[in-house]
Amino acid sequence: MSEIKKTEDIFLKLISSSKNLEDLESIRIRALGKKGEVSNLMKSIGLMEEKERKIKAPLLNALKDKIIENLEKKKNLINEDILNKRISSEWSDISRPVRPTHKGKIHPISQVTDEIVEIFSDLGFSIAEGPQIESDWYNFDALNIPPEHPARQEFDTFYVKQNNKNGEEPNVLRTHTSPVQIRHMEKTDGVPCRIIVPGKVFRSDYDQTHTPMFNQLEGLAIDKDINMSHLKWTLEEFCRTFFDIEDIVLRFRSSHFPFTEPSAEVDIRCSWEDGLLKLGQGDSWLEILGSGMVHPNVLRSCKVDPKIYQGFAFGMGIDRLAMLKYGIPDLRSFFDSDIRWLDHYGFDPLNKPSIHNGL
Amino acid sequence: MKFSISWLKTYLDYNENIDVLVDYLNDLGLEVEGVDDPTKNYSSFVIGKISHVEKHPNADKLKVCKVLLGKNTKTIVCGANNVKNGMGVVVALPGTFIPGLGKKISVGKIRGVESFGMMCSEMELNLSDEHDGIISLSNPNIGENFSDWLKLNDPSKIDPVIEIAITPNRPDALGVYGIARDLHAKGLGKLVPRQIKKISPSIKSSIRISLDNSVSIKDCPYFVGRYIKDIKNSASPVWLSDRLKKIGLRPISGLVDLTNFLTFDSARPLHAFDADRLEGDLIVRKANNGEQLKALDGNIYKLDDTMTVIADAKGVQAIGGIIGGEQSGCSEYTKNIFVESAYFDPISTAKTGRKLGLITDARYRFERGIDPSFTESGLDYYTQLALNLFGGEPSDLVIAGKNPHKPKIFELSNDKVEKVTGISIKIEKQLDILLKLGFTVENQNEKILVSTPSWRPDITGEIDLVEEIIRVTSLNKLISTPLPQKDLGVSRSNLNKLQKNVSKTRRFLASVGLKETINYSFIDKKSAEIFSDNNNLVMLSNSISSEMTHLRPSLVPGLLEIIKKNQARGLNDIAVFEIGQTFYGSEPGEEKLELSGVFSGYNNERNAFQNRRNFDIYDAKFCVEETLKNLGINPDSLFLEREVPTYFHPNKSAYIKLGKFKKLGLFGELNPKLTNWYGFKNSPIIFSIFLEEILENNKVKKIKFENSPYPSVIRDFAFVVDEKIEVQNIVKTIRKIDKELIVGIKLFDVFEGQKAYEQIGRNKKSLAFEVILQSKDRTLIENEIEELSQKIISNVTDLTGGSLR
Repeated sequence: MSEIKKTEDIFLKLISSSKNLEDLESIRIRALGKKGEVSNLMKSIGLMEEKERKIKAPLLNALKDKIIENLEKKKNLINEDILNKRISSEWSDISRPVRPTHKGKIHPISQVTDEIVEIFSDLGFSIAEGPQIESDWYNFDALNIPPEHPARQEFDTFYVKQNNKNGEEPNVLRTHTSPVQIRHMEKTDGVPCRIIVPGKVFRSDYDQTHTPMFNQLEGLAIDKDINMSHLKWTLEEFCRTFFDIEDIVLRFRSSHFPFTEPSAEVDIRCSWEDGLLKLGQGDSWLEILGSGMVHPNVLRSCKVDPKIYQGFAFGMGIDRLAMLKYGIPDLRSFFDSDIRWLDHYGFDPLNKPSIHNGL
Repeated sequence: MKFSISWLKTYLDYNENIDVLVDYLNDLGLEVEGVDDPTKNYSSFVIGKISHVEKHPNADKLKVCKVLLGKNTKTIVCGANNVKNGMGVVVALPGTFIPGLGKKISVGKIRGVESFGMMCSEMELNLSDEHDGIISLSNPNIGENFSDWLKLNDPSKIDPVIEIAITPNRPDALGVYGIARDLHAKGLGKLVPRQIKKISPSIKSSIRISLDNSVSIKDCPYFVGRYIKDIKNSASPVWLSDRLKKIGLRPISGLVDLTNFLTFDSARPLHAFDADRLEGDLIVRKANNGEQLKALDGNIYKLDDTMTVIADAKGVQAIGGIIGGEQSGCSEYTKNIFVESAYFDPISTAKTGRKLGLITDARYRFERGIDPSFTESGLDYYTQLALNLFGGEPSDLVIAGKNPHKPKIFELSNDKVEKVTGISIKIEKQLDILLKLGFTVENQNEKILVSTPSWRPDITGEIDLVEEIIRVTSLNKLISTPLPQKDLGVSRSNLNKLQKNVSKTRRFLASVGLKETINYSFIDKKSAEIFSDNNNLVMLSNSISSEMTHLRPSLVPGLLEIIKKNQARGLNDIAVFEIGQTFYGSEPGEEKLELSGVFSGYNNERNAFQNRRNFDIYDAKFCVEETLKNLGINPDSLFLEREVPTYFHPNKSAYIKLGKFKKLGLFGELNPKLTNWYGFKNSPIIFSIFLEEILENNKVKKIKFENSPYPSVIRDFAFVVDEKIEVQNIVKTIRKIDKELIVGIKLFDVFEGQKAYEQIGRNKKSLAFEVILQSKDRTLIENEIEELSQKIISNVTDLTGGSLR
């Protein structure tokens, strides 16, 4: 057997019997290192006669290649083996709970307000706002509620303490969002208009079903041709979308509000089953809002000519709408800021109401 | 306003059942608040007849009866002492609810004898307080239900009572007659007009009346009275006391009951004086300041010169339109009376009533406006009833002033109803409604002129006529009609910039873990003082609790209150915010929309990943900075200022300002002194954002994306510096060295505190920065990098007096 063949046999045997990467590396050095056996053989090529070289050089090169190739193959085998062992040794308890995140929530009032705004925006209404401290004029007189009128006593008004009023009526915390009607219509481009006014209102009443602060939604549509049948349509469209009930039925009942004439209270058809309220069908009615055609005196307060313009207004409780839609039992809890309540009834911030996604 | 069906039926002849009546009332705007219909309670009771009575074998006081109930006979054990054979009785069979006992009865063994029902007493049926023996019926119709028997034999017992809410514009509906008129106009039954005859006087009134000059024509323009001699103030007859009892009034004496009757029957309050207890003539005048009246309710009222009173020679005997005096009131000894009927002005009556804190049935009607034309007739109606019931000789009417009623006349256009409501109603039908409501209608030169009846002070224009017509017609006739569409394109955004900013910020803060809250706008005085940055505290003059006396100058106290409340419930980890109005003055508009948030406790619940830590001021700073960035503000234009309000920790808080002057936000730790005052263990972390100051356009803008194709190099530098050196100064210094090549500076480690003192020196800390170098047009070579690094080291050490660690 030639020396080359012998060398090859030795190394191939060594390689195939090696157990790990370290062994393999030392075999490589022994063969192909600077002073390795194969390297030495390769060096001898330079000293050979040409004839010998022609024969041996290709053989030696082939030897070197073969060893390199075998080293590589073996290395891959060992690596794969290592990987397999690692994989089979690894294990995770996939049942473990994940990292908790501190979750934020949107208050139900904000969520419901966004829903309302979304619907009325679609109907062409914009949002108007106004101050929460109001003058007597905006909160009452301009809305056709003269001083000493019994209707005034029904508002449980909060008065602001003021020192230098010279006999003028003190300012009040607005008892309704209706003053914003006045502030909007008295602007030079106030009418025609379609606005909604969501906002806080205040009445000095505090018991199981009343809080001294609550949230109201005012609606106002004024033009030359808006009548009460448009009011009915608007409210039906709103309720249908807001409550997501196709066959909603509204009942208009005559009533009286100083700022509208004719006035109507609006009931929604519902049923009570085992103490649970269901809107849509049934033989009961639930009052949900007050509305009517804006009183000519209110238009006059805003220097709007009632002979040319007319329109409707309505007002409803946002808190109440939230309670009805989401089955929240206690009004007072809205303002109690119990962390657990907020977690439970609050909304995911990513759940931004939109018409096309459904409300 | 309550009334019984039998009362209504004296003025309205109709046959419809009570459900129909309720629908009509609701539709008319006379909102039904309650129906008490005893018929329903009694229809489950059966009329029986006792056919056999024997002694209970095991009990002396009990009897075992056989009771005939139509086709079958039941054995019933009974303990009543009036049980006897042949008696008509009211039987509750097993399963029937007994209102007086509040429970259902069942089959039971009484002392060994099975009893299949119960024979009831009046008390057990809530008919009266009578419980001495069971009901004995005179003409029992065996097998019939008790409700039908009552209808036939004792209708007042099952007379249903209806309670309606009367809106303040409808004084006329505060009497049964007015309600009947409304129902009639709507088509329910026929109105039965009141039969009021002129009284022919048999004597002359010995009491004269006058209106004093101090009572302007407005406060009491009209006052009439009548003397009735030799009248007997006995108890009211049953029909009258039943009328009153049904609606919750206590019968007092005939003459007084009659005035109450007129109040609820015809919305005509009157007052009957005991004429013998009056001295001299009556005068309607203003009270003198300090004058007093002991009124019929037993209370003494102190009067002033704005109040209209009725007085005799001795003094005040009644407060006009509100209440009479005790001294001159009618009693069982009364023989001669003087009855007054007057018109008192709604506004001055309301003012007086409010000042005295006195609400009476009379005031309720006068302040809404009574029918001035019914002043005399009302008194005639009273006289007529009184003479019939209690005898006596009437005088002529004594009259002061005159009827102030002047009909108001309005033109009704043919198309007005349809223009306002969209409902088309024939004009004849419209006028018919108005006529039935008591309006008069006149056609003049093609114009329809409508004049108002005296009992409708609320009608002040054409629109009110529309309301009347549509109210009677029914709003159920409204047909939904789509709003006229303004334009057909894609709808524009209807939110203004602030509204958009608020909406975006609310959802951003919730998305990074804060819960949104809404708190009362009122806080207590002490909190208002602490958190106000001026001295303009806004106070309520009629707050409902000492915790709610002031309007909040800041959202922070409300949020701190949340920490307190939740900690009391064992909930310690809190991250909440609120967006709401704060107040800096008591005039409209002296308010700002702000945002504030608080943190307290851990940032996370306990978990196995060790990623839980206490909230710190950098959480608050994050909220402010990120919010501002979201709203379009360039972070490079923001500055910090340590001069903060006193409720903040002076060394751990700062304003965030745009440029030098504009404060946009504020963050930091609550002043530890306040932390102690509140009783918190650890100082809450606070932030505020002044939303109204942010005027930047938050539209999403994208600039061109540029990325250098050449490699970036990262070098780390750790500096040991004095512990009060601010990171921002070092960052600024580094950035300034080469704005082009230094593309990023990150603080990645801070080593401070006791351990740092020990290792690197007292009052020192170590700050480690990662600086990223990159060129847009070449690969940086080692020399350049080395040169920049040296510059960074020397500039920072020069600035801080520190050293490279």
